[in-house]
Amino acid sequence: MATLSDDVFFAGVAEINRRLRAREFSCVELVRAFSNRLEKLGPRYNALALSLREHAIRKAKSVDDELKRGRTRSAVQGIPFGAKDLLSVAGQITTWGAKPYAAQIFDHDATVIKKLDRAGAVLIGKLSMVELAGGGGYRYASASLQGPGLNPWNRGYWSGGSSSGSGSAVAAGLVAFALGSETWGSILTPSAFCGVTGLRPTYGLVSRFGAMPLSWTLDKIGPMCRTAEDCGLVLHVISGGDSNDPGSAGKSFYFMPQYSRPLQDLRVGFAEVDFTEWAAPEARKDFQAALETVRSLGVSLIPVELPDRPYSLITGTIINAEAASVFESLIRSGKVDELADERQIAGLKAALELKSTDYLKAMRIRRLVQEDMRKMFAKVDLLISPTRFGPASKITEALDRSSAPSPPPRRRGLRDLGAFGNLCGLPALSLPCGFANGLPIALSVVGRPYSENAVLALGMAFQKVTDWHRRRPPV
Amino acid sequence: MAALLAARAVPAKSVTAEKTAPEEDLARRVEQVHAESKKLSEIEVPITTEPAFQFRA
Repeated sequence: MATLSDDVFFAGVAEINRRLRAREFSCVELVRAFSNRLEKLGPRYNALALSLREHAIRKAKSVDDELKRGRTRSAVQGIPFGAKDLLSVAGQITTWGAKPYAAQIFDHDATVIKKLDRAGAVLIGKLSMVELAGGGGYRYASASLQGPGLNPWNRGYWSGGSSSGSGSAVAAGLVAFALGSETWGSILTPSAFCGVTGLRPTYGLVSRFGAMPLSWTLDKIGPMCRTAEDCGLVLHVISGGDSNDPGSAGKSFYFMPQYSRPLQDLRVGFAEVDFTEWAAPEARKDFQAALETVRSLGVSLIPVELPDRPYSLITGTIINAEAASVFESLIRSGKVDELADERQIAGLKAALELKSTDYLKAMRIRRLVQEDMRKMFAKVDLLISPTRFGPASKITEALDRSSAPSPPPRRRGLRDLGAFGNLCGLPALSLPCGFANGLPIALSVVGRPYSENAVLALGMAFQKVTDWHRRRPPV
Repeated sequence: MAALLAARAVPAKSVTAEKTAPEEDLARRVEQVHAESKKLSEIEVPITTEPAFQFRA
């Protein structure tokens, strides 16, 4: 039996696939090695919700048979991955990170799980998450059935959420890639805090069928990987229309980096104030260096600013209204009291007080935000900004306290890019770009709808000239 | 003796029950919902602006 070196746990999807096809190791050996690592180290970061070792080894055997017969399926064939525990796997427990659903079993696979299976990827485990993906608003990192997500770079710090386990597991080399989800920040934040590369696709590009709903008009599923290239390879497999998903755009994504526009043709919007005054002081040096790296790629950097709108108020209202409807029976039955986080419980209960006119008002303002977006992307092709303005917070810190500088900067820059991007369903890529106090920080690249190839092209170019994405935590 | 008696005097029971932390949390969040509702009502939106529903038939 081949002994796998540690390198393989931190290798990209394409490299692992190439080594599998070259028979450096079998898929069974690869899957056993990753499963061992996930089971042994996953609990260290509270990253593992459920090991699927037996299921994975059966799948790995069939992959080995296919490879022996020369049957190749995709770039993710044979690659061990993890899935956020809001994605259903037939016959297996899917907890949604929440005590009331601790024994929940579905009889069907989520569409994304099915697609990856058909492409030959090997699901080795379900990864932990913030309970109910944070619907209701949580105060502490401990808002999870599996406990607080711990950051592999320093376990005294949060991995970020709500895709906490996905972020930790990729960072620590426990899976080659993971699936996460984002309603408002839940792919990008753990990607940034854990130093991995995460892609939030355009709303509707990836089927939500089989995923726990939190906010129907905001939920998106996306890859969390070691590189931008890997994100492209995984998105290529999981994207596409699905009649089971009412929000499906019916569009496909073909990862075509060879056909991307030359970088010199790209206009990239940015706000200086994001990299100076909004950024946490300990992160400014690396953020500013990242901005210069982007400039050095030959793109045109154009100063921009978001229009003045109450983005957080609108996004929060929409999520609260939709989540209250999704979880109405949980709330009214009182089972909501079984959740771990008091603020989240209160938030879900209070959300039942929201008026329909408030929701509709927020959705109408959202239409105006979408018009702003169209005007913005007439001037630029992409936007860049720090994913989060500072590194991860301590595990014990309250998350509902503002970390904004006091007094706040006079210019708003792209400070609300997270809310703006999610309201408009825009694709976004979080790229590791440095460290602050020993913890990763990241840059976000955001594009217009369905511009994932352009977003990924800039990401890949950035990662060609930097090595932040290759750094490994002290596991 | 009088001092001891005074020290042992039990304060009168409060008439209203004290709120627990979860009840305080809930009250605060409900207050927040109402405050946000007021903020939303103050925002002018052109009468022809429709909600940005994503679903299509």
